[in-house]
Amino acid sequence: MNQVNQKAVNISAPNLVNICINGLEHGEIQGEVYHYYSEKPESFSSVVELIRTMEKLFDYLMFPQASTRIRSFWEKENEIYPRRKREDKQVSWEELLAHSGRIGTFITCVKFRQRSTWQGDFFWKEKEQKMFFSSALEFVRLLDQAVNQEQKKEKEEHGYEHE
Amino acid sequence: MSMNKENSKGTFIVKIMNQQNSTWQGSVTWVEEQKTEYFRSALELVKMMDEAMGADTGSEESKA
Repeated sequence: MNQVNQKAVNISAPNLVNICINGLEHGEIQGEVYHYYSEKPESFSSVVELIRTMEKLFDYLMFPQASTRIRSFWEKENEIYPRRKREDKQVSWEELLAHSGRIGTFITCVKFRQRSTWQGDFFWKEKEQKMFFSSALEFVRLLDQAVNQEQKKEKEEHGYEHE
Repeated sequence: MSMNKENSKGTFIVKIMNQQNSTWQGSVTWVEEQKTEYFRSALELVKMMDEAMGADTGSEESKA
């Protein structure tokens, strides 16, 4: 299908994720996230779950290293920061980027975690478009816009929506 | 104070006081526990509420 332009995607980023969106139900996105450290994807059925999954991966890899620690409603004991785990990649970049979502495929690279949020870019595979975000909020907004655009287009073309 | 590992319901009052760095800053009050905390980004807000609702965020912390 679409050959992913190698130059458009930073394949050497250890935290590169391939977000495959398969459904949009009641305004909530559903799909699977692929990364380098497992052949099996992690499913999500809401944007909150997607964010949770991605943050968990970044915290586990300690990449990108967050410049602030996320606050909590509870008092936490001083953590001893573990050393960064050097995980071996389980899949190649070709295998990682080969997966596609039914509604859209967004290959995302969160480059920095500054100001308690994300900064990076994503490559919309089907449209061959690269988009930049300077906050997680912006990331969600752009993703939402893209998915809704696709959904609307499908409705116009086929007279139905993906459920 | 007993803490359920998975709180299925919760009420939060979100006060957005600022919009800088393409995101929100403000305070969030967890009504049932009468706790207020400040957040520096929408991501932080979501994560704080998620943790309050007992989501597994990957870190092993003791909650008083």
